[in-house]
Amino acid sequence: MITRTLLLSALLGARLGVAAPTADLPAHPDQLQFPPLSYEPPQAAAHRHVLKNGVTVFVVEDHRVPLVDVSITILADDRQEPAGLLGLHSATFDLLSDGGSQAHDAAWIEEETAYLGAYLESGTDDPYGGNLRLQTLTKDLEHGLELAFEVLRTPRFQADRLREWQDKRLASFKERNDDPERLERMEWRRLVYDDQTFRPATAASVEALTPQTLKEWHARWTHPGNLLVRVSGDVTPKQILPLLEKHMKGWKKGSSSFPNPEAGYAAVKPGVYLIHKPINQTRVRCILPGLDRDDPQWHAAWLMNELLGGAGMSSKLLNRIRTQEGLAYSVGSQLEERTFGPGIFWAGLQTKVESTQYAMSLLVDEYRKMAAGEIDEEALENSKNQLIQAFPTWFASAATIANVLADEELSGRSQSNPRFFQELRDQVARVSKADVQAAARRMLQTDNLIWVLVGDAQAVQAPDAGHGLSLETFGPLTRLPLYDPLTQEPLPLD
Amino acid sequence: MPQFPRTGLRLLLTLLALGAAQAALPVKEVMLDNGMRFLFIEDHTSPSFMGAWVAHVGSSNEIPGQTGLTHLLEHMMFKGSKVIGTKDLQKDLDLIARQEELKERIRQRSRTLREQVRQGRAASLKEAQEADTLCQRLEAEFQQLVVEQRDNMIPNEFDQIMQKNGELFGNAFTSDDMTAYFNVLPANKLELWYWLESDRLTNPVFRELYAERDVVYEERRMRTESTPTGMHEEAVNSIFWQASPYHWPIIGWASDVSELSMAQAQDYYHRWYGPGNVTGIVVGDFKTDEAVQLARRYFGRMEARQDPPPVVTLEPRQIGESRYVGAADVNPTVNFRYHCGGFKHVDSGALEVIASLLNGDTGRLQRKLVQESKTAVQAYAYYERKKLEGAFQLEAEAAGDISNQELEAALDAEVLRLVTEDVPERELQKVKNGWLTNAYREQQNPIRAAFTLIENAGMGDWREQEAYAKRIQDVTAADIKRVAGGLLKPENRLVTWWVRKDGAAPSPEAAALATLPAELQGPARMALAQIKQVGDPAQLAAMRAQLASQTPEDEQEKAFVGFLLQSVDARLEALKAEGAQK
Repeated sequence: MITRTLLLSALLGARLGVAAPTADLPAHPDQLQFPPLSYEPPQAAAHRHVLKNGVTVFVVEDHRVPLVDVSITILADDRQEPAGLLGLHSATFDLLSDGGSQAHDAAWIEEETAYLGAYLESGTDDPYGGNLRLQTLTKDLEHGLELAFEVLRTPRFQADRLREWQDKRLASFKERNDDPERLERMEWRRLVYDDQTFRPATAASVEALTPQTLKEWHARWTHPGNLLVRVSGDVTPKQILPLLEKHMKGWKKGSSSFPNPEAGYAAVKPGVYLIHKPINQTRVRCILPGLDRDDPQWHAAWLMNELLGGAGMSSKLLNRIRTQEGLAYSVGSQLEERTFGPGIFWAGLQTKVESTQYAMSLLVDEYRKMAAGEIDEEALENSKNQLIQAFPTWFASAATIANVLADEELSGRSQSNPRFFQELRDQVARVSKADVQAAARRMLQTDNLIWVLVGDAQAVQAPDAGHGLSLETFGPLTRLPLYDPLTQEPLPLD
Repeated sequence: MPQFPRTGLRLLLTLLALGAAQAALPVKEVMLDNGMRFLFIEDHTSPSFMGAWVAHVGSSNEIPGQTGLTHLLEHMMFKGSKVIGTKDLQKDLDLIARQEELKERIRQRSRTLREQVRQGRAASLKEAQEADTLCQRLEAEFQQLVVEQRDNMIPNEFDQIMQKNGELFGNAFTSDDMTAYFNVLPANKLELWYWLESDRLTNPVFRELYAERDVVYEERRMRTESTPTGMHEEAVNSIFWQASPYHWPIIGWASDVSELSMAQAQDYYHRWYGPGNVTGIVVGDFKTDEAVQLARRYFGRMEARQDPPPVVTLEPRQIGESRYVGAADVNPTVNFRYHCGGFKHVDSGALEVIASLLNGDTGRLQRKLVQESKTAVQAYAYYERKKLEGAFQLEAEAAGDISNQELEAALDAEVLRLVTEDVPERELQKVKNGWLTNAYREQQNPIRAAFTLIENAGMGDWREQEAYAKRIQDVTAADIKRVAGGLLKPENRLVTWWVRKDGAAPSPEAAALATLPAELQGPARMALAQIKQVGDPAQLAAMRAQLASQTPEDEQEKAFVGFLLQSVDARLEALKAEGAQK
């Protein structure tokens, strides 16, 4: 006992009595010297393979742990869903992994993969259509691939699993208008996109789906002419390619091909669009047209967004609206990078009802300043340095390398601009203050703003006399209805 | 389902277990002389690293009246230091001192105003302050000093330095148990991370505290007050935790947040951010020797401080079931939340295995509630392994017209199975296999590995991540029965019913279904779904004729057939109406 007490006090003494070392540390981080870091992005040629049937396969090795990731993209265009069957695309690709195969029912496949500690899932979170993903221990790769190709080539789309999917979807629809964030996300899309791009499924369109309609949608898109495979992890091309050849054997190319699914814009007139939700904070989103990612001004616009609201705490909107004024927790902007066609440029914030108009006016003010050329040289250099130095994180793992290379291939950029990644850092470095201003003048046209507000409609319309503002300051005001969450018919305004 | 031959099974298990032994994170631990612990994992996959430090302090270390202080302090740590964020430090400190004098006078005045609120003479403290001329005058003077200070500051300089050096991911979080700060930087910027982080940990200056408090209040509005269930969840949480400091929200009670002060923040920092109460974590592309040297050089300069006081309160045993009904903009849902052991508890492995048995594509909740009885559209279990205590949750969202009562009964049936039936060997092994491959996934991703260390170090023992993995593999079927039997009892839980606020009346179908005996409701619902898919009136007419020709054997069958007939008729009517519309 005595020993322990002594030990303890000795320990405490050591910890409390220690004098801080008087290290001669640099007085400011700008005095630090950093070793150079050279980094060359991976080359597609080192990882790209083509199977006998023409399917492209990217293989990126990483042998640190015995895991293999196989991801198969099925090119498919959801804009071609029949009007009465909206939801068909996601039902088909969600149920690829969860709906059984001709040889095995869904539960058997699920139990088998779970027992192996593996993962076999499918869905539509791929911008090119459907996706089937297998992750397995290396030793189970062959078995895992058998199951993956079983569901890919001969899915069963079990009726009970479709019913389950429908029930879950319908339940989710019922909550469409509940969460202000989800409501805002849905409604700004309705305002900006055309009818082919924004097509919300309804209870009726989901109920109309049958296993047969899913089988037809699957058959239409799923064939070797429409596939791309990414493999990463503990496997060599020599091991994986023969396995893929084996599973593709005898599979004929179909006729469907993948059109460039450019988003269709049919934006409403500029102005303020207000959606009523009785909450004590207003969700504000400000929308403008974006740019095509191949646009010559893309890099300048990218930096403009970083300076305005894309770079977190370092950006203008955050500094003004959050740090200085304390008006919002979350403030930011984004220049959407779409693979096909231009995206939008948006800025958003959430602030208490009373400060809504003032926060909006600060946002407009920052847009004006940027277009007028009030651009801080040092801030621009900081942003450029960030993008250039963080460049290697785009390729941080074998899986991300495979994804990036596949994306270049599928989008066509590996053909149209094969040195895109090699030149990216130089292109960013070349952007000048004048370039950013030119992009800002082109993009930040404050007469064209589309504002989407979700909040207490009556309270938010009260003029902000203290700042000499009213909602109409920002453009003509339109009250928007809520839409019935199941039928998507507009509900009467209350 | 094919069974693996016994020997094959054993071989497979051996292989997996072997893998688990290799999958432990390769951590190097170093203790500095001042008591600060550092953990390093070298991983050269990408030319970058994640640097993090976690202070072993969370909202559960707060005291009443100052809730939300841990989180506000997290925000203040981004406001610079004696070097970062200012043009003239002395001027800065003078301005802060003058601001505090004014704020103190406002606080004195607010004591009287708060009494007005308590006596029902003002709706809120804010309203009373706005109506009070003295408060308004002091506030105006204060704002002038804020503007004056702004000219002397370099706003967000900390973030700007990180940014220009290639940082993309930096942030921080506060939980009940810990506060953590993390950044991902290019590999050549290792020393920068040490410089900036040791600087703000050693010499922080809390600038713009009151504007930041407003920011936190907006965060509270966004996360808690404007979401469909946020305010209810805050209430549910404080009902569940009776005495434990988990009782109050991490972001703080609204009336506390608006009163937090500079003095409180500074005092809290000194008490909790000493080197002995912080763990540094560096994972990625560096040489460990160099990283250790830098740790000594930069973080070694901090003076050791007295150990902070531990939380003494132990949650008392719950002795009666609590129930909460939350009417909100949500689908009907039932949640059970049971008290249980937390971090390092001997039964934590069993609780994690129970959650895994219930969860996922092949989990019992999916199989039984979603697929067999069709009482839920989705359901999950969650073991909250906190530092001081634990909680075990079961939650299910009602399918179609299922009532919360039926849903509760279905969840209870699953709880009963855990208590009364032995888990089959294969099912148990399936869950354990999932955890084994999970360990590899963790090792594969340096950032994920770093967060695992943050979480475990933050709760007090980074080595628990490995011990926990082993504890999960050691769980037996008997453990599960024992732990479930001991904890998953009504008197140990809070039951929450979520109901839709506008409470739409049940459909005629639902009303008809409800009249059937419970065991027939499942089949009836399936039959109804099939009938609804038929679009051909002739086919429906044939179905009707077949049903009408049945001679029911008992009352139950009669009710069932009657329900189906009714449903076929309703479908025929609906088709007719559709035709008329076209």
